[in-house]
Amino acid sequence: MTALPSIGDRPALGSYDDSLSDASVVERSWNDPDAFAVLFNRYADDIHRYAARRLGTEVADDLMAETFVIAFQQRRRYDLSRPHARPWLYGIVTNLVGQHRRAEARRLKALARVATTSPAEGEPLADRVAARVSAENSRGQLVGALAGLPARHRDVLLLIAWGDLDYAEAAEALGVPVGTVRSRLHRARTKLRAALGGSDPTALHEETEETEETEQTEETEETEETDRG
Amino acid sequence: MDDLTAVRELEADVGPLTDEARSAARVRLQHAITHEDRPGALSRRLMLRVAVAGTAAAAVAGGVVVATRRGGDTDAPRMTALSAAQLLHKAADRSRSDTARTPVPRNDQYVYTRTRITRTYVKGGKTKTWTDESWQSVDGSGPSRREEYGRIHNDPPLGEHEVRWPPTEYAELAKWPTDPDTLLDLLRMHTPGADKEAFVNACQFFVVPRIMPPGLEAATFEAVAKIPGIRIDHRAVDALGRRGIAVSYPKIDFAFIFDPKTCAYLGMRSKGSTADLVDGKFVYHDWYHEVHGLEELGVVDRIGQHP
Repeated sequence: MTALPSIGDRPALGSYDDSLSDASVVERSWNDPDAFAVLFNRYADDIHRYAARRLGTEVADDLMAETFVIAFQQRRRYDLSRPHARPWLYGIVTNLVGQHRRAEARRLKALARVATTSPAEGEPLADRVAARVSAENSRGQLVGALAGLPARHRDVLLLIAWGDLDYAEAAEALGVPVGTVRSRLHRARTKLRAALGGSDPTALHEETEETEETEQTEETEETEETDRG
Repeated sequence: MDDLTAVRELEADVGPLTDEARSAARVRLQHAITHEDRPGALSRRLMLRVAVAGTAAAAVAGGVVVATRRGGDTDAPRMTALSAAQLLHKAADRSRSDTARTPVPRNDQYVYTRTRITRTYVKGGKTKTWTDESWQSVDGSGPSRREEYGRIHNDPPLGEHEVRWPPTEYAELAKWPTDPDTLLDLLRMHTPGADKEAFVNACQFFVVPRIMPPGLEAATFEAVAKIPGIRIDHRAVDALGRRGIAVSYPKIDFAFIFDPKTCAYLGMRSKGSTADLVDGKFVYHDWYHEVHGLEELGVVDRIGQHP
């Protein structure tokens, strides 16, 4: 008769406490690769949502999966002094989005068209209709402006607007100095405001200062990118 | 409106991550984890193709397949928090409502089982699978042929003083209580507080599959539900790249696996290692997880016959 395989008092395999920081999870995964799944559980939805907003859910399904595979393969290069892995993962997925620039441009153009031409649904009050039409139009213009941004400016803008990263995190994600993030964001927003046909003088003023202080960085970087291209 | 706020509102209604996509992505990650140190691993393109081919194929890419004995639906919604006891009660209800029962075996017959074993090493490396076919003499009066990890063992009939416990003989099992409290007392071998032993004994029913009289399987699940300290384990099963919920007991290497949606019993999970005797002590290494899924269970008249 079948002997029952041994049942012993051996320590249970690692179950990872939710309280562990991302960095601790990554460090554990160096020796216990299965631990890496914890990061998947924590961030799969966020990464997917960000990718889906940029490229649609279908492509996002693939990019999200690819992001975690790449992250896993690069986990030994993770800087353990950074407790949160979100910027790192967003950096990876943003790079992957970069491989789909044409698809993104197509998507944005299509969105812009839809927004501009979409008819206002039956609203009882004439002024509401007017407001709706105006909102749709400006949304179309906004998307159009988004499509017209240089990719590196759009990456910064969308990491912050859609990925909810702060300046420092966006810098970490893209591997650029914080000053570069600030100046790219400023440039992107200036173009968006121009497209929307208005401007917020306060915001403009506030960010002009930031631009000046970081102009040097941006210039250096632009040169680099030209070389690469 | 502020331009940044306007951007934030764009595409805010994008579709959420579907369970299917989550599962496929999880499988791809698990594949990367399992095949990390393996040269000549599958190309990414191939993996992608496998991963998008659907849940069943996705499970193959992850290296883990569990046969659903009762055609359990794997297209489950995201799991809501379910306690181990609740899950076991649902499993019991399902077991009771399962009318397509195998015939009652006579003592001169054989219980045929086909079991799929998938072994995943904790530290990575190639996942191993076996499909074992066994013919067990119902009461042990005849010889049995049992395949374990692809190796065939021919067991002689039980000796005069040998018995199987818990019994495999249908007539004996039919005498077992189907009331969960009485059954639990029996599984505890009438020793109050022998919870660990009770859990292990309940596992025994399934480690060696047998034909259970009506209500006994359900009562077993309900008895286990009464054992203090049982745990529900979503994550450990997920770690194998497959959907299922495990019910386990601390420090016991065996666990029951249920379908997350239908709560149908799917198989057993176990943990093991290779042991070497060094200076009179066992040294354990190469830890692995195994999933034993019962693909087929039936009654036949002779060894080698299929139901």
